[in-house]
Amino acid sequence: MATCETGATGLKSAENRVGDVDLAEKYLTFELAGEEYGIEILKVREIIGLLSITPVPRTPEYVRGVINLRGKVIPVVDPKLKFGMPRTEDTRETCIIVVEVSHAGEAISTGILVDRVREVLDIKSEDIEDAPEMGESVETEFIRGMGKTGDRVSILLDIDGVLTGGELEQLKKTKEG
Amino acid sequence: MRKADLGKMIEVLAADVVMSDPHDLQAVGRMMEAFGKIAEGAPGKFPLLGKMAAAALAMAEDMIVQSPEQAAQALNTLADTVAAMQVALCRTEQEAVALVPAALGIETPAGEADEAESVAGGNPIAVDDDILAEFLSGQESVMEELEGLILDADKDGLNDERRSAIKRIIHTIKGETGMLGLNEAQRLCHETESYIEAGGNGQTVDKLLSVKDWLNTTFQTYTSRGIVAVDAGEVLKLFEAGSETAEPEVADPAGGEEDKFEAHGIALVDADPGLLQDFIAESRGHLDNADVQLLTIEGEPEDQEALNALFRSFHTIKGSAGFLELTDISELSHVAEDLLDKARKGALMLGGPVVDVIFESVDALRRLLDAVEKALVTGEPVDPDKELPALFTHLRLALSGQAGEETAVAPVAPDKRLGEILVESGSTSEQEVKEVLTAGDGKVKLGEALVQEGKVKASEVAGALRAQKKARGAAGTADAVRVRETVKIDTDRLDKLLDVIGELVIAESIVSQDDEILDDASHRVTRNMRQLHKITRSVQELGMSMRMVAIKPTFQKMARLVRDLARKSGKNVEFVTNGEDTELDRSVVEKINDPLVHLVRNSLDHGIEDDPQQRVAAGKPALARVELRAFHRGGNIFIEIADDGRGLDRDAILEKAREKGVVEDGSELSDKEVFHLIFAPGFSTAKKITDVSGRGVGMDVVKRNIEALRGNIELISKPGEGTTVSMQLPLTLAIIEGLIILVGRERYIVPTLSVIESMRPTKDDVSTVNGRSEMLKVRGALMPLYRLSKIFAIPGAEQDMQEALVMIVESQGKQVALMVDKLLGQQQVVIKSLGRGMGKVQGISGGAIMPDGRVGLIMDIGEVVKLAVSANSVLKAAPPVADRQEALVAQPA
Repeated sequence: MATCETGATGLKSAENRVGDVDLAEKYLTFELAGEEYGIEILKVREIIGLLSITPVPRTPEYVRGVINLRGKVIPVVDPKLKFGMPRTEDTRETCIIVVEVSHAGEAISTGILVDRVREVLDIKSEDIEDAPEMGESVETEFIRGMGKTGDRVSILLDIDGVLTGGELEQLKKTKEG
Repeated sequence: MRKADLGKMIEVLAADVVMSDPHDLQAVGRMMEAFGKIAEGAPGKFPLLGKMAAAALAMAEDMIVQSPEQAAQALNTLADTVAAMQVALCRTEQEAVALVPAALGIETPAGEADEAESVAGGNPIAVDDDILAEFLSGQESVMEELEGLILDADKDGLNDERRSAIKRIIHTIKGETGMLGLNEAQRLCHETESYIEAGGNGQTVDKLLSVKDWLNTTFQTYTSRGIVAVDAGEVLKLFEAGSETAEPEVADPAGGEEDKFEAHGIALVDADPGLLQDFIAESRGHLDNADVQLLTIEGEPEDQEALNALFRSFHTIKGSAGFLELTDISELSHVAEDLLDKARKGALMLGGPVVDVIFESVDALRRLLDAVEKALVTGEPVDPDKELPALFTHLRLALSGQAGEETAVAPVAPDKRLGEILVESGSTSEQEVKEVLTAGDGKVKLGEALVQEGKVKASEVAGALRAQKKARGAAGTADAVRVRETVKIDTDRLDKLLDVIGELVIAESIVSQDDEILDDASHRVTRNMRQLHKITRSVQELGMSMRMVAIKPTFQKMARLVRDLARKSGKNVEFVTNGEDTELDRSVVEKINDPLVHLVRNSLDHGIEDDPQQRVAAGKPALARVELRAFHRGGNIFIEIADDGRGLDRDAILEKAREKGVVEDGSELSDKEVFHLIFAPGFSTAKKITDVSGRGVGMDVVKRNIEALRGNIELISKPGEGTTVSMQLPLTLAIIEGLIILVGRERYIVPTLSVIESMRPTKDDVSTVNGRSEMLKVRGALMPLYRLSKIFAIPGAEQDMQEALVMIVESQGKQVALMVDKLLGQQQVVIKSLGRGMGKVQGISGGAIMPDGRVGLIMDIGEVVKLAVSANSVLKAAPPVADRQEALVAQPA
């Protein structure tokens, strides 16, 4: 399972910043509403089953709440809601991927709620294409590219962007407003 | 040999040289071995080091056959040599050149470096970062200690104990900064040290505080910005100006007395040789006996029998000497007898320093007896003993209780040079030291100069060494109890440990509250679970205690503040602290500082009367009193600041409150309620009330700070008698006592401190305003009622008022009612942040792991009420929840 492989490397995630050259990495792929997404394995701390999530009032809807990760409280984000996809019921396969991103020099752990974890893929950088322009209606801001393996295509997420990139500030603004 | 090994070896050697007795052949042998190894092992990089070690080896060899006096002198030289070796190893050999003792008889490279020159440069050299960091991290506590000493000196006078303690600190800093190449700091310490040695003058305390401040600022600058060029010129000027007008005797309480005593020397006029011989023999016996008794007393200060025996010895010597007209001996034994008499009556504690002085007296008497014997044989008069005046000073100091205040003598650092040891142990006086210093222009090392100039005999130096060793031995046992070994730990690691302990506690409660365990566990399992619970609790308590620090440094800062303020305003204030060893969570201690500064300032500025006459007229002592105390009560820490000033003017506050409409006309308020008014935000800035009441500047800030610490503040005041501000603080910020409430399906934790009461209202108690805002009537008083489910938009909450529960909470001095579904219980929880990814959530101060492993949210009542108020006032304008979400979803684009 991916958990074991990621433990050792996850720590380095902060230093291992992107750059097109580094894209030939391993990616953890998961499912969101039937579509396959992938994130750099370096950012992944661990994968846990769905825990009981405590909703936090006065936060955006895509923030599902907080969980107790072995005594540490971390927020859990539902990317589907973030990307404007319909909310679906949690199933037995619903997982929380704990990622660690660095923001303002601090390592921040956040849980990402996914429908199902698939596998770890090797995707070379030449197999990654820029996200195609799909018009206003499709959210491409947090897409790093499209990864091709055989005839499969996974949407590679810029997870730092999803969780930080102006998002926290926006989140704050929303709360203040 | 590697440099590190070499350094270690020299360090051991340094300790050996200082600690050992010239007659201790084993020690000398050890030294020889070490010198030999260094001489062989010194790398080619350190030619001087090798040379010094070789010369020292030869010198140590000679010591074995030398007379005690020669040996003691050689030992001094060796100590200086080791010091020079340390400099050579840690800094540069160039700098060590100046330090190589001449007596070592080695040729130093040309271009004698002037020590004073080399330290004067403003720009520091490159320094080993690790050593620097280590040094700087230790300085905070050193500075605190220094300030404490200086302030004590300000309060009770600068006695020898404090003088040498301060000097010891300054000297250590001087050595360390010297090694690190922090030249300005070193120069300042050097000047300060000389200044203290010279006896200081009237402004000693002010100057020392300036020095301490400069050092503190400088070290902080180094810590935050790395090594930058600093200039101590301003502070140094203090000493230049001061030293010209210095009157060494002013600060020295015994200085005047020192002149009164004149050693007479031994002149045997018309004395019966037979009687004298008997006297000498008899007295020697007494002195031997005195030595034994002293050793007993050193171990057991309470031993009355030994004390009486000691007293008798001196008494007998005094009587016989007086009869034989041996003035020096009789006077010396007389003073020593006085000292012992005082101890006998229990007015003086025979601690390390006092015992030392008596030891010295015994030695001096022996010397005098020797002199008498010599005079008897040669028939020539003997010159006065040079040591006697200094000894008398010490005896008198001890007699006035100044040398005996502290029972434990702080151990001398092994690298301490002999000069310092001499002064500290009291074998020589500041006056002599000063003379030598002036002659040597402050550049010569004391011990060496003293010996060279014949101020102190080498044997006396050795005696001082021994005395010091004894003092150290005496202090050793006391220290073993008092000073505990400590380990410095990264606070991050400590926090992590506490996190893990928190997890352990939670895991334990999850297991022990599991249905399977609760329902059908065997007796054995239950017993084991109980044991586990007990151990878990003690681990938790231990973990918490590790974050605790004493409040003493904070109190010390306040002492300084009071001193400065009192001086500025010209008020005479006595500052008393109590319970400064009370321990608080680190974070609380850090945050309590500002409120305390505010309160102390208020007490001094406004509380204490401007004119002492007013105080006298009110039947109070002219000297005002401000007390700061800390104590535990019922699981909380209380910090109180009390003054005996004029107190609050109740009527003026009330009048102002009515004027502002805060209080309705005709309403009766208790004193407590009235005084609480000054915590209201608008109040504090109102100039009139401040002037009249003498209180209130920034009191709202104080209250807010205390509340942020989840504490409470209360004020008790009586007109004309003074004001006491009492702050109740939680033991730790990591744990909170909370009520667990249920709203919908969600559990929340409400800090127990914010809840006044909870009740189930009847229908009649609730009234609606404008069909929307609700009001609750509690015992005749109306207060706004808010539904938590509305504020937090929690679905499925109880809507029926009669089925729900209402908590009366206090926020910003106002009471409001919060409606929740149910009260589930009361519990202590460990506060956790909601994760950095979450940021600040309004109304929620953090999370806590509940016994079932889920996260419970801790409410910030103040913010919740604020939210409720703003939601009510802009209810129509505020977008409904659905709109808000829509806006958010759109935002990422």
